[in-house]
Amino acid sequence: MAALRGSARRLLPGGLAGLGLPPRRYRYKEKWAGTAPKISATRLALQNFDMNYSVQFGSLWPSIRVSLLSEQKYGALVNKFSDADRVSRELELLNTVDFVYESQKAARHVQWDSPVEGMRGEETAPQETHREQMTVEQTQMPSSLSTSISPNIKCYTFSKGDVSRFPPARPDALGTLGYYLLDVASLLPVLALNVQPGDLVLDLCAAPGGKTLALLQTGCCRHLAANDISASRSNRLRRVLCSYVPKDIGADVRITSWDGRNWGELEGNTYNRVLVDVPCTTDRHSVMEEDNNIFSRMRLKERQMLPMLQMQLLLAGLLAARPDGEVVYSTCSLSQLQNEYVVERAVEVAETEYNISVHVEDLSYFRRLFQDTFSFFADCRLGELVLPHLTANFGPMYFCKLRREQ
Amino acid sequence: MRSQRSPSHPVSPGPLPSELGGAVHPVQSPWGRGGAETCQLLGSRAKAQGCNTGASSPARTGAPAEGAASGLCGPAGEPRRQRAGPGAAERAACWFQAGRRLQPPGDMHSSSLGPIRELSGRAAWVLQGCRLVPSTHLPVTRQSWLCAFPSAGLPASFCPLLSSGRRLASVASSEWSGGGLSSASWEQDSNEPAPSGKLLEAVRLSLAAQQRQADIGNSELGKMLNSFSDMGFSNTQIMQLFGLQPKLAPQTRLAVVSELLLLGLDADSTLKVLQKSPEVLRMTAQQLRHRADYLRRLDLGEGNLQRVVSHCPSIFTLSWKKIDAVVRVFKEKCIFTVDQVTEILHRCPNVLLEEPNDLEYKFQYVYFRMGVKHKAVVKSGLFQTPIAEVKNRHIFLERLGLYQTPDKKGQTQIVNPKLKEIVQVSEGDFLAKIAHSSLEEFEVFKKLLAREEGEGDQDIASEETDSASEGEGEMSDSEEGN
Repeated sequence: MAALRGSARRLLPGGLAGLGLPPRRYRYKEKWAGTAPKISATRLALQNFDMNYSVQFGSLWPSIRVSLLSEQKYGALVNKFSDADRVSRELELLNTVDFVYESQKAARHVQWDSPVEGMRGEETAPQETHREQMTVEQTQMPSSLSTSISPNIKCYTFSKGDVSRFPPARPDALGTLGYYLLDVASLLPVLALNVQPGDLVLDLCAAPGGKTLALLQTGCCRHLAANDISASRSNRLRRVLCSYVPKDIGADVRITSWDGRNWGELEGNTYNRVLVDVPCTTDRHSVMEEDNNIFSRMRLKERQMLPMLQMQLLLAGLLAARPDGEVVYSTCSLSQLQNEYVVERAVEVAETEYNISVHVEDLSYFRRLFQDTFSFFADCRLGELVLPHLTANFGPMYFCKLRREQ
Repeated sequence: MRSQRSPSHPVSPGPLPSELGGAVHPVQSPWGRGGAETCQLLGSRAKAQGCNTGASSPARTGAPAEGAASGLCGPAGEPRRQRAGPGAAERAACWFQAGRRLQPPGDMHSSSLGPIRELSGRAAWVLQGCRLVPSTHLPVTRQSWLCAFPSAGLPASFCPLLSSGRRLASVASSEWSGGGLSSASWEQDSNEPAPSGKLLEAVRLSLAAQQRQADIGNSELGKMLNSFSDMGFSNTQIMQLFGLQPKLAPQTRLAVVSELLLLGLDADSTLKVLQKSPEVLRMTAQQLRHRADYLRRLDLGEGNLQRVVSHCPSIFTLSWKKIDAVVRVFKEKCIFTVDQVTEILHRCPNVLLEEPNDLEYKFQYVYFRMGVKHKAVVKSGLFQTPIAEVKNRHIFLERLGLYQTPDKKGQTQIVNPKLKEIVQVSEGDFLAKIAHSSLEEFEVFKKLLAREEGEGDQDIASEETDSASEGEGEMSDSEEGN
């Protein structure tokens, strides 16, 4: 058969790596191995997922799989520390929409319908009962939903089915960037955390900094502690905050590189809100990127220890929270072993070993709020799971809200 | 294959007249029976034949033609059988028509003289048409015919005629006009030896309108119009024919049209070819013959040609190099057998219009990336689908987990859908039955893939021109935006 020509090189799955050549960037670096591994880590990851997730998701899995293997959809988190209005206008010109605002608007319309009827019926009733009626309404369906999610977060995305890309953010006159491009699903844990003004917030695995930045956007953090075990990644976090956040706000942020598992002893019972965004198998990254892939054989042990590490981190987060504080656990993996099992185990251990009772909050209202933007999995035992879908290629993102009780 | 191909074109004038006793009957009054009905019958037969030539395999068309003929015969009832033995006439027509297998003469026992009459009529017309034997020299009547062939020996006598026809067909040269196309106008001619004054007038006018000096006599023009009508063109079609390349002499027009008909095209297809690529009219008979030979060697003659021509009317004007390049890509680069190449050309005549490189790329994609072997490629009609569509569907299936490239031993862990099922079905069916996915997802996926391919091209271009200097990217510690 004819020799493969230039254009035919593309025919090989995995591109040039399939020929045994390492990627172009590293071809001449001496410390790298001369040959590529026989089975690439991405292939191993994909095999692993095929085995597990086809069972877990059944007929949904092919649709998830094709989304994982296709280009991710990004959103633009507006940096209010630069010229937020100008940035918003620019983004709107691109034909994007602030999904947080839109979802809340839609919810408010729904909300006003039912309580209005209730109120009309109760007009003649005395004040107290009227107020009772309102509170009853509130518990049934949290009326002002805007108070149930963290405030002041604006994030623009393209509509469903639109595959346009955002241009990279440009610095303004002072050098701060206008917006931060990220996977929009990673904002959901931050929104679910429901930061209140004056809160002490802990971000236990903060790098590279998207969620930390979002927390700062809320403007509610009296003090934000951002930690990541890896020093290089903490540096990256620092750089991101430099580019986006002015110095005075940055003063309220403490960046550390300690082991998150020790936080119970370090700062127990301190924080109003804790975000535990644990290291996971980063499903999307694992099937696309060969570099530093957690499914590579070098990292096998690390991967096997992951659920244990995640449980310990969550436990530390629970210990670091003060009573009646809220903890949000999140991963970017679809695996039940890293999601529900970890939460259940941590709750159990907190109960048995530390005598802390933890309540798993129901987030179904939250899911309903954002169901137009994201594709949620309907059958989560605990917490919520955003599934990648070709029209809304965000996620995967699992998050679960826990409240430490008195 | 060779032996199966039936004689299609009586090409040399010489032997035939001698066989027929040196005299043929012009289309005259003996045929004038039950006028309109016959006309219709033959006309509809023309249509039946027309459809039949569209069929791709010679063997199959004989039967439907037969069926059509008998269908036509049936309602007509008894009187028909006297006249032109339509069934037999049909068969004879078939024989003259493109490449059908000849029915054994044993079938033509009924009203035995019918075939002979029909044949004689056709031969007469054919000869007349090519002006080899001026019509005035064909005074032989039916009676003399009957004398020449004793009825008892009909089958035997019929055979030599047919066998000579076979011999004739295998010789490639021609001045024959039109391989005995159904004569929609037997009747017309029998009743009106001269073409209708109206038609004549109209053509004259068109010629005059084009400022072409009408330097042929009225009767000559009349005869030519006759021939056109004989070949199966309706009046409107004749007008259209004359409308193409009006500066051309009517004789050349006639010659080219005859050549095309000889190849086995029917009136409609010929008209279509000429309309789509009028430059064919400028080709000499020689060129046309060469092209016809080449096409026949590719087994693209007769019935197959009809189909090919309807897809690719410019097949006559394509340079020989182009066709040869395409055939060579298939034989040498893709290593198809000759039979497979022929089948591809039958199913997907559009390949002749494509770049050989594109064809090769498409084949390589399907062979290496999808792991599909030659036989399946041929059966699937792959070359009718654009490569982008093939890639869209294949990569969609691959990322869904429904298609796996076979490993070096040719094995997969799942059963791949067949190439035919992927490529030949409509998009709706593909999504519903093979991919089990929705249209919105597929639409988004196509956009994403188009973008990926575009960037992939850029990457390869830059890699090929790039030297050893590359930048250090921020690496490894990066996760998705947390």
